[in-house]
Amino acid sequence: MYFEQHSMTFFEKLPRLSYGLILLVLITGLIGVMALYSAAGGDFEPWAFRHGLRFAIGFAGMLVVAMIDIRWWLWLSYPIYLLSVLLLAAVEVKGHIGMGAQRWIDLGFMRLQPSEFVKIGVVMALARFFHGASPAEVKNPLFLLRPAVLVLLPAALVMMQPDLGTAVALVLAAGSIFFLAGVSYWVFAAVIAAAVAAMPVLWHFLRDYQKNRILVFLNPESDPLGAGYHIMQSKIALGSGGIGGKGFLQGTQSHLNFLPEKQTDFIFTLLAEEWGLTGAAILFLIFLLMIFYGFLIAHTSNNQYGRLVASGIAVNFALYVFINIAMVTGLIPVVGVPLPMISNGGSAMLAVLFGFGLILSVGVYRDVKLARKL
Amino acid sequence: MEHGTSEKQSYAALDGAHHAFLQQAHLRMAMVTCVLMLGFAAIAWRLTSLSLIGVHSLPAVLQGGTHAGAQMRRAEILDRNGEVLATTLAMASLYADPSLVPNPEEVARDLAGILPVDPAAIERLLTRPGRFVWLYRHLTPQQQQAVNDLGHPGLDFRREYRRIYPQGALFSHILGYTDHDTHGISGLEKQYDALLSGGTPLKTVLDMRVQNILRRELADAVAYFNAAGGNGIVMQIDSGEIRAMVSLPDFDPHHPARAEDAARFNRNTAGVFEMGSTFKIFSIAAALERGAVTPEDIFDATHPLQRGRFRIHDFHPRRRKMTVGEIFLHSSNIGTALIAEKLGTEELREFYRKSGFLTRAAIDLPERAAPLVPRPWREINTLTASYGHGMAVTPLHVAVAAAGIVNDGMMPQASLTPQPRLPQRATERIVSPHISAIMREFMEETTQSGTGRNAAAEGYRVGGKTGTAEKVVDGRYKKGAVYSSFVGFFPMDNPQYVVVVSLDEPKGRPETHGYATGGWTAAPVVGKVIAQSAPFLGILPAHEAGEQQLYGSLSRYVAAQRFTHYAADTTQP
Repeated sequence: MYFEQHSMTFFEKLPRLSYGLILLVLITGLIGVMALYSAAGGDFEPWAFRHGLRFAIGFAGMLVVAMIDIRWWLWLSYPIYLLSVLLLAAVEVKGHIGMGAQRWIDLGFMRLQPSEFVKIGVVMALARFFHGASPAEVKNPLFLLRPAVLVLLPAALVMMQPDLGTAVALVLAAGSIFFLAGVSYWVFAAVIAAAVAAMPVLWHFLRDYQKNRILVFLNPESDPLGAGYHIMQSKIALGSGGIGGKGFLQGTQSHLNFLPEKQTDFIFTLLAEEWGLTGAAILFLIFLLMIFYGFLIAHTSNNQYGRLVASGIAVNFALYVFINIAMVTGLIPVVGVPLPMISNGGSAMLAVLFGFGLILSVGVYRDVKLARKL
Repeated sequence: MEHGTSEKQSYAALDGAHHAFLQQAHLRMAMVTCVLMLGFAAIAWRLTSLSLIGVHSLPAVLQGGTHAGAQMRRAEILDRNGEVLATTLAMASLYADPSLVPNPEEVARDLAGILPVDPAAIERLLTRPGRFVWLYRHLTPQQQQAVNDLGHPGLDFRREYRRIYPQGALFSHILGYTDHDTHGISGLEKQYDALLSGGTPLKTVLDMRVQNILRRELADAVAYFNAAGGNGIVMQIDSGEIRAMVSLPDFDPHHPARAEDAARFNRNTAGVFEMGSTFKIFSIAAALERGAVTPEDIFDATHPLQRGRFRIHDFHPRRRKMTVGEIFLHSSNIGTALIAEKLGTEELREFYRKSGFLTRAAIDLPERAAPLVPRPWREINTLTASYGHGMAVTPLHVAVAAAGIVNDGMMPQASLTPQPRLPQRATERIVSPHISAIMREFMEETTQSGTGRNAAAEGYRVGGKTGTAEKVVDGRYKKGAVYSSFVGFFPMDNPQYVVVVSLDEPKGRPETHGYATGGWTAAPVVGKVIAQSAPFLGILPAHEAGEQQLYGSLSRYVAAQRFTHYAADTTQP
């Protein structure tokens, strides 16, 4: 039952890597380059080349992360969390104003969006916290106050930016880790009930444009040329693709600039228009497989930290995909959440690749048993 | 980092607990996976339905980009000969995504150099927080090219439809106009909006040639007599089909907002006026029809008629006793009032009701006015109403009722579109054929030796009645301001068309001896309109009527040919 744990050599680690997941990540990265090439009207500028470059760097980084001992990541969890929250706070202080929302720090070579990294930081910190908690402690609601603060502090900062979509995704992903860690069902029931009760108060704190988006979501056809414009155009483009699609570079709705932000949050629309339902379904399936790999690796992990990190990141990734596609198909209101690996934007992709690196690391070190108390 | 001993102990102690813990972790993982799968199933279903069912449920305005055919092009309006009166053209409209416009001030300045827009207003639009604003609708191709050449980001065009009226202002009040999204908001555009926006062309019974003649002659008269406005109707008597209808001043239906209210309003159907002596057609017909008087009965019009505090004068006093026929011919107010007195209030009122004067004008236009009727209706109102004062109706009311008088008593239903013939209703008959024949005689006599001599049209037997009403302004009769009309019919051997023309506040001219009466101002317009439009309406000059029999079905063609020469000859000075 107990065996001596040792540091694996590089060649011991290689067969433990999940090559299926690596392949899927590679495929999505290439789809992203292709989609951005099309979005620019058949040009590597201004998005596709840089996206490819960032992907290459991020992909290499993912493999490096995968090779680093999970115990190091466990040890680094709180520092990484702290760093990401500090960066997020820095956005509040000194930020670059774009699109009416302050969301990034200009590093010179790229615009860093701390809110993307905070998602990973929160998952790591919570996994670290619950790893060290006994089953009895987890059942104690007062014990949950500290991890709740770990989540709500960055969530509040993200809301202040304001970025409703990321804040909601952050809270949902964090909630799933609480759930996976074994927190009692009644705690969730109580929190959901409280959230519903607080809804009118939260509504008051939303910005006007956020309120508007929600109201328009409820009836987008009411204002087809105003705030409902994005979503209507998006639905038209999706519908116009049909089953087979119009073909690579042949999209019209998404190219004629009826669709603003076609290279970022609405890129799925462009893909669905050009590749049709078939292409959308294939991409969708690839995403599902990636999520499935995340949970599979979590399942095989022999330590609580690995389980929580892998499944937490998988949930996080699933939320990206779900919120983005649900948004462009009009199932939920418009919130600024990119399509992972495909949308133009460095921070989100790097954060996602870092996350998959962690999942791979969990897989490599799945047989390692970690003490609860360090 | 590793504390083998303590972990060993804790695992030993918690072996069962650990197993349960692991089971719970895996169960929770399965539950989260299930919830995620449910969410993904929802978007998979959504994606499938959007791709397969398509976009047919979306508003038409958004489908213009690649689904141009999906937006129904608003159908044309045609005259009875197929001439296009209104059509729809595709044009470019300029919009912007303000968030993509980096320099609103510069863009606004550049656009103002190309389009008739206020740069400040454009800049305000471009600095709004939304992602879509219309900047200018319906650009010409040149304007579109110029804006395109500016190369500013964030600006784009979308194809839109614009309603075009090839005849300009000619049919402005009849056709009405549409809003920017080509929804009809007045006139036929509104009346038949559902039909037109559904793509079905509207064929009217209007005749562009007659409309042109009527408008030209009316406009000439309005200018000549320096009138505030004018109105004219040409209507087929038995069917009620409107061949022409003009209201002046009119407006450019492409830019209705630039017109004044007075110009936008259709005097023929939406304006009510005291009609003056043309009403004697109806009061005298009523008295004859009810047997209250015979054409030969004599009334004393020597002195003004005093009734209470009212005193009724004649405009051209003959100061003698007159027969009913003479009263009509010389348009004696005194005589007509005496006839109405003999007829009685109830009888006159009932006749006016049957003639449609107590109800809203009836025609397929949305702009229809209700008449102004005396309330309460006293004896004195009967006397004044007999010669067209104290109550106000639309010119259309007069045209329809007058058509009924000459059409053997059968009153038509006015219409701008072909109507299925309704079964004749009892209420449509307002006088018996015998009385109708007497009235036709009276009216032909009027144009030969009475007040309507100026309505004569060479080659045509014209009948009619003049009317000159003093205008009420702010509840008082305005000195020198009159509403002068003529109601004419032709050809009198078998009346087929009624022409009603009025001038609003015409001023007398030396050539008319200072008179601004219906006989001097409106009657000549009717005469000219009849002379010019009769051939287009298929009616021969009377002295060639014999040839009509000879040539049979070719007669209309021959007549038109002859008229061309005839008209060419007579227009020489």
